[in-house]
Amino acid sequence: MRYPCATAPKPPTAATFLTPMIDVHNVTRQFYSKTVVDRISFHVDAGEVVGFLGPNGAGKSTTMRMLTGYLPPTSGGIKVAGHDILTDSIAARREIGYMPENVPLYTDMRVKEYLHFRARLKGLSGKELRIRVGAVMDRCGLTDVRRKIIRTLSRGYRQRVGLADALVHQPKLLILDEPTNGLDPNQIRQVRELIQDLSENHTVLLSTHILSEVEAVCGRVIIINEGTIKAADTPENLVNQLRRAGTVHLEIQAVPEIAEAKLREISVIKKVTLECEIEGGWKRFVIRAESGTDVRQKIVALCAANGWPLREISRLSANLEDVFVELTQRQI
Amino acid sequence: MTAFITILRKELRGFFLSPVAYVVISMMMIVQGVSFLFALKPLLTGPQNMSLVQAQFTGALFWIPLFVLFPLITMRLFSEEQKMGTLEMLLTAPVRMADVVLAKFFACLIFYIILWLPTILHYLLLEWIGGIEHAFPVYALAGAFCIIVLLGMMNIAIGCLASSLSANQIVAGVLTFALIVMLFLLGHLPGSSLGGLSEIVQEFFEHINSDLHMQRFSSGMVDTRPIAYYLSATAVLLVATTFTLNARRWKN
Repeated sequence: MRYPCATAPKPPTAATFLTPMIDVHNVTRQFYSKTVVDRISFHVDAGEVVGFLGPNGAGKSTTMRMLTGYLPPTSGGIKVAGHDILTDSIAARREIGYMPENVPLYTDMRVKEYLHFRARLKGLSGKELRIRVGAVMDRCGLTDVRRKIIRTLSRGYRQRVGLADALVHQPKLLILDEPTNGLDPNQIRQVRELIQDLSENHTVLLSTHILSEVEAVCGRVIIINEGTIKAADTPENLVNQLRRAGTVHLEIQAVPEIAEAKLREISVIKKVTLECEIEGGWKRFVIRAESGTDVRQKIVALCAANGWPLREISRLSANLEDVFVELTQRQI
Repeated sequence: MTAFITILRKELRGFFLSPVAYVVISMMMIVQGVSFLFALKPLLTGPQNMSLVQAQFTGALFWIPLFVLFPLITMRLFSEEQKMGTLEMLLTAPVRMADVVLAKFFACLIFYIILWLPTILHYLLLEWIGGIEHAFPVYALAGAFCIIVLLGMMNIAIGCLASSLSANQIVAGVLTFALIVMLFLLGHLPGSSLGGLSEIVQEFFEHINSDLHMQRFSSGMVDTRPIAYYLSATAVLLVATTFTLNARRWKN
C-alpha cells in the first residue's frame, strides 16, 4: 500500500478542520488492579501545539502509548485524525510520528541505514524515500553523522535520530515524549526551535518537565496528575486563574488595625493579613487582590496619604511553575 | 507486505553483519565436513547397510550441533527488542505484530538454510572429484533436506517463543536448548528401557520422534504425517509467540 499524502499534500477540506486530531473519550488504563489513567477525556485540534505536563508517574507516558496504539486502553475510545486507534490502527498510526521516552533505537545500525529502514516501514519508497530521509537528516542536523553507528552517538544525537524518524513520513500529528530529556541547554534550545518550526504545519503533543519550554512553545497545556486531568487551558489563563497571582507583600510602619481597615477599603482587595512584626516597628502585610489586577499604585497612594513610612512593596508574579506545583503537589 | 519485507531484509542484514553469524557458519562447515567424512569412511571397508545420506544425517554428529545451533540463532530475536524497548518503535509504525513475528521467523529460517548449503556441495564434490556417476541417492538427500527444513521451522519457532518470553538472551537460549532436547528425547521414550507404555502413547511418541522421521526421509521414504506435524507445530508456536509478545507489552 502506498502512503497517500506523501506524493502530493492534500488541500485542507472542511472535514480536516472539523475532526479533532486527537479525540480521547473517557479513557481508563489499569495495570492489574492499579489505575494509572482514570477516565480522562481531552481533544487536540489540528494545528495546535499542546504541552502535556505532570509529575513522574502521573500517567503521561501511558497516555501517549495509548494514543500511538502501543497500549490498548482498558476502557474508553481514542481517535487519531478520525481513525479509531484500535479498530483502524494501521491507518491511525500512519498519521502519527512518535518519539518515545528514552528513544529506543537499533544501536547496531548506522544513522542513515536506520532512517531508511524506518521510512520504508512507514510506506515510503524509491526516490521519494531518499529525498525525505535526506531532508530530515538535514533538518535534525544529522548529515555529518549519517555514516556513524548509532551505538557510538551521544544522547543528544540519538534524540535527534528519534526526532528525524518521527518526522520522516510527514505525519499530521507528532507525539513527543520528553523530547528534551537529558539534553544540555544548547541542545534544548535547538529542539525547541525545531518544534516551533514544525508547529507551522504539524499538530504537536509533547510532554516535558521543563516548564519554560512549554511557555515558549505551547498554545495550550494539559496538566495530568495521578491519572486524572487537573487542567487544560492556555498557559496565560492558567496563570491568571492561580489564587496566588496578584498577591502583594507590603512593609510599612503603622498601627496594624487602622492600616488593615484602610487597605480593605480599596475595592479589589479581598484579604489583608498581618504576617509579622519586625524590629523597629515595621509591619509586614500580605494582601490578596482579585486576579489580574495590580493594586500597588493604590497602596502606595494610600500610604502616602496617611504618612506611613513604606520600605517594601512587591507583587508576586506567578508563572506556570506555580500552577504546576499547586495542581500536582501531593496534599500532606 | 512491505513491512514484512522491510523487517525481513533488516533482520537478514543483521545476521550477516554480526560476527556471531560467521562463527556459527564456520562451526557448521567444520561439523558438516567432519560428519560427511565419518559417513564416507566406512565405505572404504566395503558395502554398508545405510546409504551415505542416511549415515550422515542420523548420527550424534548431526543432532548434537543442532541442539546448540537453534538457541544461538534464535535467542536474540525478541529478547533484544524487549530489552532495548525497540518493539515500541516497531509497533507504533504502521506494522502488525504478525508482520514482525513472521519476518523474524523467516529471516532466521533463511539463515538456517544457508548454513546447510555446504553439505550439498560436499556431495557434488564427491561426484566431480571422484568422477563417480550417481555417487549418492539424490532423492534420499532431498528427503533429508526436507526434514532439515521442517525440523528447522519447528525449532526456530520454539526459539521465537522462548525469546518472546524473556528479555534476557541467555534465559531464552537455555530455554530453547532445554525444549529442543526434551522434545528429541521424548521421541525416543518408546525405544528406551522404560517399557510398559500403552500402544496409543507409544504411537504418539513415534509421531514426534524426529530421529525416526529423519531415518525414513533420508532413505527416500516420504511420509506426509511428519510434514503435517512440523508445519502445524510451527504455526501453533508462532501464534503463541504473537500472543506472548502482545501480553507482555500490554502489561508493562
